[in-house]
Amino acid sequence: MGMSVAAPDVRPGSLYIPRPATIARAEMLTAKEKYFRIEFPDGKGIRYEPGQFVEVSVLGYGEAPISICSPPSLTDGLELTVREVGTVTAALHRLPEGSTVGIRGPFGVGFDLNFLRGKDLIIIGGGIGIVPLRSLILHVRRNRSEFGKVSVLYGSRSPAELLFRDETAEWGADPRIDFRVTVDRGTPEWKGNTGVITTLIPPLQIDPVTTYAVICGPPIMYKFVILALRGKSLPDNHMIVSLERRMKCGVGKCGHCQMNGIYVCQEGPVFFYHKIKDLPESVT
Amino acid sequence: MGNPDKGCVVLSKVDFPAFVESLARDHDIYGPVAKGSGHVFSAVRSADEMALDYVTTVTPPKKYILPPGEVLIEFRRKEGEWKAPDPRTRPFILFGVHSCDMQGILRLDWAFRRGQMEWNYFANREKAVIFGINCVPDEHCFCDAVHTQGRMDGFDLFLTDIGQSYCATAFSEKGRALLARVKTSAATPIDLKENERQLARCRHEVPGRFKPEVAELPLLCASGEGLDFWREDLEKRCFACGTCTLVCPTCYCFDVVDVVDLDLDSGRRIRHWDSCQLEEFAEVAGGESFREKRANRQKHRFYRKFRYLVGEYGAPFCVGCGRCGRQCVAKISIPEIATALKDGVDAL
Repeated sequence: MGMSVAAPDVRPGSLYIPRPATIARAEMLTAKEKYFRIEFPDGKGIRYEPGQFVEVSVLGYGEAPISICSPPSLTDGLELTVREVGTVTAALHRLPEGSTVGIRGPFGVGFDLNFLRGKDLIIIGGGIGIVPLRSLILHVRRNRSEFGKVSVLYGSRSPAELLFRDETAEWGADPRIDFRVTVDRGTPEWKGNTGVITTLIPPLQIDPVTTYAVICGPPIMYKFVILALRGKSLPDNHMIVSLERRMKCGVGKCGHCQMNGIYVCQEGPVFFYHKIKDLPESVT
Repeated sequence: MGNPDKGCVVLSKVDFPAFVESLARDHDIYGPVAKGSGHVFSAVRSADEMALDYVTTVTPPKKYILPPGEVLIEFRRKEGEWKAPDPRTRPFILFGVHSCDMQGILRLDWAFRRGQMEWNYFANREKAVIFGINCVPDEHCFCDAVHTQGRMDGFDLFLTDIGQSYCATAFSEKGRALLARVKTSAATPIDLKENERQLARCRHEVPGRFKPEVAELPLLCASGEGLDFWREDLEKRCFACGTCTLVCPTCYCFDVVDVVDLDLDSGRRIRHWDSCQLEEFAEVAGGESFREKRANRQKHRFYRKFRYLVGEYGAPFCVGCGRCGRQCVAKISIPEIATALKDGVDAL
């Protein structure tokens, strides 16, 4: 009658032991954001989808959830872009190339590439929200014929905070995608659009039947972007959002990322907007 | 649910010290001991250290399975090396556990088994042997309302104090093997009657204090999101100290921190109990806070126990031990919240 606690899967180190990895390349992109190319000493990469994240360990400082910004075609390593905001990210920024870090993951649900195939896409990134979207954008550019019309809207507070400037110059020059960038506050040298990201939406031609919007940015951005998209008749179930929460463990145990009943690290960070919009804690 | 009458044998209190002594030879034993004005679970070596007629303990026995500071990895920074710590090898007995706390442990089993099974938890859990004891509740207990009262599932052995002796029932092979170490006799009809009488003492009624049925709580939660009670009452009373979650037998949220030794080389990654009642809990690195209001944090605690996890596991993650209400400085209790929610929704 007693409950036996048979545990066939009990193995040392199953969940919280990171895999050793090396910083193969590191480069400051802005004053606060640094790019890292991560490789694994055994040469075996990890399989991931755009929108997923990994937990990066810096021994003595801890772990932080970081979005993968490379496309899934990069199979022998991964690329991360990290803003310095806390102890772990500050320690990571200080590490020289060749240093060892720990990687766990990938975790979560990313952008469903099979679902998005054949659709028209509007990819909308605000600030550091462009980082996980870069993975999707690079995938779309590599496999351009699999998608319909593609627009990419990118907003930043100032020109100095724009990420991936060499690449976005290429996106802007690519006739196969409609890339638009804006900054909240320009500088005398800035010749592009000025204004918040929602100002880029009204001029778009959107077919609400075939178009899906993919949105990632600071919490405040979602509300206004979603209103602007609804203004173009795009239904809520054609909007896909990637949400930021404190994803401490990545395996649905620690509780920090919970949004009402949902563990964002397990069921997200990517969600169809209509599935979460009624959750009071989704703040969208 | 096991039946404590089936296979119940009698263990004389004269033989009890020798029994505990024999167990201590090859087990660590943790049992209730008197401390200050109350009781705590603590390491014991002998029967006389334990106060088995306790009402409750400050923190539940969960601390021996999900320790408050548990090493997840040991590392050396300079070498860039890390490894899992050696797992616990010595079996241990949680002695004198009440049904509510046993039910708490079973819920933790569900949580750490769901999705990816967690080795850290089960490495401890596998070594645990759990001996239950009958209890007498106080005015804070509400096991009746959450249907954990008198449950025997999970125990390896259950003891009922019947005066000069204990009625002992083994529910597992481990329990049977350990019980065989002590001289027991068949229970007489008088023993069985007394066993039943003592077990019934925990079946008290607390009418009206916990008004809703637990089964209606998920729906009440859904309807009661906007009740004034959260904003007007709990927001103002709660100090956000986190005691309620700290003493809870089913709370399992944790934080993880790295600790480095003075040589700045060796260190450990440690998991600590954390609390959804602290504002930092739902903060992200950029400073955005997703549960700023105390009312929302209290609501999260209640909803997690009576709505979210019920959807996941089919039972509330509250076992009615009453510790949160007993120890809350602001006298906020689960029966009070449940009742206010019921009254508030009924009045909508």
